[in-house]
Amino acid sequence: MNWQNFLQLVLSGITIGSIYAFIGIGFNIIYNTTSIINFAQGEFVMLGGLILYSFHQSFHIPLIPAILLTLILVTLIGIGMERLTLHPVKNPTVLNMIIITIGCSIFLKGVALSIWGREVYHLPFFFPRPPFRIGGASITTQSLVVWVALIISSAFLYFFYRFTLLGKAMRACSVNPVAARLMGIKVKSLITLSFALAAFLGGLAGVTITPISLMDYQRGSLLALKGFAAAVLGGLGKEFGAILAGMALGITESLVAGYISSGYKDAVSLLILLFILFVRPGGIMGSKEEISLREL
Amino acid sequence: MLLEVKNLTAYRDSIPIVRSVSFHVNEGESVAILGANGAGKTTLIESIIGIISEKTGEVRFKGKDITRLNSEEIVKRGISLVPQGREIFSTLSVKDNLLLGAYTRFGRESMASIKETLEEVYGLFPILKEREKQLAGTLSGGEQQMLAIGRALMAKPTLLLLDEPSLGLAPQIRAKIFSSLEELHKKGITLLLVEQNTFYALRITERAYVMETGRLVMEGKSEEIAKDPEVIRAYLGREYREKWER
Ligand SMILES: Nc1ncnc2c1ncn2[C@@H]1O[C@H](COP(=O)(O)OP(=O)(O)OP(=O)(O)O)[C@@H](O)[C@H]1O
Ligand SMILES: [Mg+2]
Repeated sequence: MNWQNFLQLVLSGITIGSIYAFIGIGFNIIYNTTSIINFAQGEFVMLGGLILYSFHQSFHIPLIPAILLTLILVTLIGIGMERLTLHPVKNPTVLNMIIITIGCSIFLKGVALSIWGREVYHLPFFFPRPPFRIGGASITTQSLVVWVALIISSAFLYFFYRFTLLGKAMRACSVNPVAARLMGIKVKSLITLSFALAAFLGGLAGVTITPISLMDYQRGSLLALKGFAAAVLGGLGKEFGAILAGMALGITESLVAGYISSGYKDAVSLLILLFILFVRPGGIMGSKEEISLREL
Repeated sequence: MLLEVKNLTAYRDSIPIVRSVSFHVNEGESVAILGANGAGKTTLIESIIGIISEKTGEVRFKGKDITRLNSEEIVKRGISLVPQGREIFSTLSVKDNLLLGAYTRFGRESMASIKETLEEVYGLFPILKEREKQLAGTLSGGEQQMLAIGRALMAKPTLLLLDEPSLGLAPQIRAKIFSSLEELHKKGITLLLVEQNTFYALRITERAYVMETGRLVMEGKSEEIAKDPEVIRAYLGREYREKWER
């Protein structure tokens, strides 16, 4: 076993793990305000990649404005999805809401299929420079983009949840939604906000990963499954647990692909997910969530 | 009349729990609703503040109909609830719990006036100031109850609803809670207190209603109810008698 090869695998594992982390955080943000898993989370990622492709490659909008437009559009799609489908439901149960998100996922995939077809799309690296080399391994500029995006978003989220009134209200709403209403907190608006945040992060994941992993209309689902594994492994509801867990999954996957066979790569997350769901449904860091998962 | 409830029937899962209840609370008054477990006290309180929306009849506050408003609106208009079981935000700090109590005031009032209310709450419950940075879930039961009351006060309510604030507390802490409620009342807050602990409840209120299986079955001056052996035998039970005779 050679060291450089190992390092290379770990570095690519961190990059793909960052994407799982992004998606896992998205799951958690919505879970925290609604206690549901948003099955359309992967579609936000897919839309991020494909919309950016259209803006940048088809409409020739310069990269930075194209990225901004994409993120705005995906965020609006997230808000629209919540407002049009979940918001109007009176006294929804957790199961109702989950089924609605499954419907949204299928719908968004269908729309994407009709716009972009089955083709696989590719975007150039944001910074077309040769890879950096450390310790004999190489890091592409796009990997750095993914890492930096994750670091900035998590720092932003940390600040938001710890230090802003709105962020604290969102935490309050996840601890005790009825008491939150008693404080005059509009829980329904916070749910909309959580969809906006989750869609934004999903879109950002899609935008940054597409130059590395390519994108097509159905690629969101598999990414979402792995992001979900990260969210569960990190403890549902724990935004920052998902980051560590996403990294762990990404690295494991990358090592399995490198040393055993890339055919088993996708099985890793699934096996880990199944294992946790059997052994510790609350995730490695969770406890309270265990109960809510059993109630499902 | 500050609060006026007319023929209120409130349902849980389509089952009427509170049936055709009418009562009122005057400005500056302190009123108790007494009743045994399952009488429907919590259901009544929650339908007043808009947590329960399945209801008929009318709730008026400051002369305006608030029956169909959601709880966010009702809180803005000046009613706060200290819920049964405290329902604090256990994973947030004590201070954050209190600040969230003032949620509707942010943006409408200056930070200084919110800070002023915070200091008043700390004045009433100095222990909360000491524990300011601690997570609310790590407080003792009595401290959590003080936090729940303090959090409700942060909204600067005209009418404070309290649902069994003494439940599950040791006697001295219970006494402390009730004396702080008395103090609040003296400062001019109108209180509507739901209690099973009739002994204290009758001591700190001016009027009381007795609730039984979803209906208000009697009304009177707290002082008089406390002295009336018939009422006590019929509605208020043994615990009360023992305390009173002692
Ligand atoms: N979802 C429900 N469906 C039907 N009945 C319910 C439901 N929830 C509560 N009840 C019943 O409503 C009645 C009144 O409940 P409520 O909580 O209002 O009483 P309470 O007077 O506050 O009692 P306690 O002193 O124990 O708090 C109880 O008999 C309870 O069993
Ligand atoms: Mg009750």
